[in-house]
Amino acid sequence: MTDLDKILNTLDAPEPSRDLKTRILEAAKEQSPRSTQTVPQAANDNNWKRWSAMAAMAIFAAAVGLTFLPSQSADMTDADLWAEKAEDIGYEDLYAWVQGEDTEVYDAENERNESSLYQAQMPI
Amino acid sequence: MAKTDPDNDLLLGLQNGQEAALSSLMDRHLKTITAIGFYMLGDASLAEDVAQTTFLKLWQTAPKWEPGKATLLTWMRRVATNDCLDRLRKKRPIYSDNIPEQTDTSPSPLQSLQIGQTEDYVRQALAQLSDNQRAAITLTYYQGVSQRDGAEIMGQNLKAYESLLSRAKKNLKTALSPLIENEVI
Repeated sequence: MTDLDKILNTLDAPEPSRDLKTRILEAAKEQSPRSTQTVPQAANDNNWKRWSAMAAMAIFAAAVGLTFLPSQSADMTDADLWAEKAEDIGYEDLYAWVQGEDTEVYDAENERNESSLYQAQMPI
Repeated sequence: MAKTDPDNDLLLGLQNGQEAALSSLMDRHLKTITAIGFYMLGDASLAEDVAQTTFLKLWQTAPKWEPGKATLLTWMRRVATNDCLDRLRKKRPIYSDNIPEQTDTSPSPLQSLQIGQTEDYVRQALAQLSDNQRAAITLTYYQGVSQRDGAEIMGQNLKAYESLLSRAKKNLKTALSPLIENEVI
């Protein structure tokens, strides 16, 4: 035992007062232990913070996925519906042009029409 | 590897809210937990408040206890130490930070020993330490806790705890040097 140990040993903690135990037991009567159903986390488990962070990240990723995936399929459905509706009313070429599809066909037809128009207007 | 808790026999009773189990646990550890408060705060009354808070917290959380992790005593030591550190942060000073000046009229360390005041001198030396250093001295010297368990209780890695303890010992030796040099013990 070192000198430091010897000196530190001179300071003894006093005995707890006689009524401390009674006081704690009386307080315990008023505070019933929590149910395991309401508090599922182990009191002596230090790993819960790490797992809860991972769970939070997984939930966030799932939320992001659910937010964006349905919106894409909804867009596709809308596009199909609009294309169908345009076909029903005879504006499928205009719809295709607006959507940027078949532009070459449209341009070729347009050029031919313009050409014939030009020829028709030219005095012979 | 799962730790064997010597207080496992009381765990079921605590989880079922049996006051007899709490009473038995206090018979075993009330003095130990109260002592943490005493060495950390330097006040017997506050130390009892710390003990009450600790045992009631255990009483409340016992139903969600999982055997095989921290032992009941280690967990209670952690709760008590953290409670003391919180109290020290919120209300300063509990300890007197000043070592009494050694004037001609006041007793020297040697004379203090002769009139039974060495304890006060040690108390004041502890007061000079930082809160964490005092906690490390309390756990390792006064509680006989291993450095590994001390580190776990204080939420530090082993190296950091060893370093903390080393600085605490150095500061204590400086503060208590008059007693050590005079070989009063």
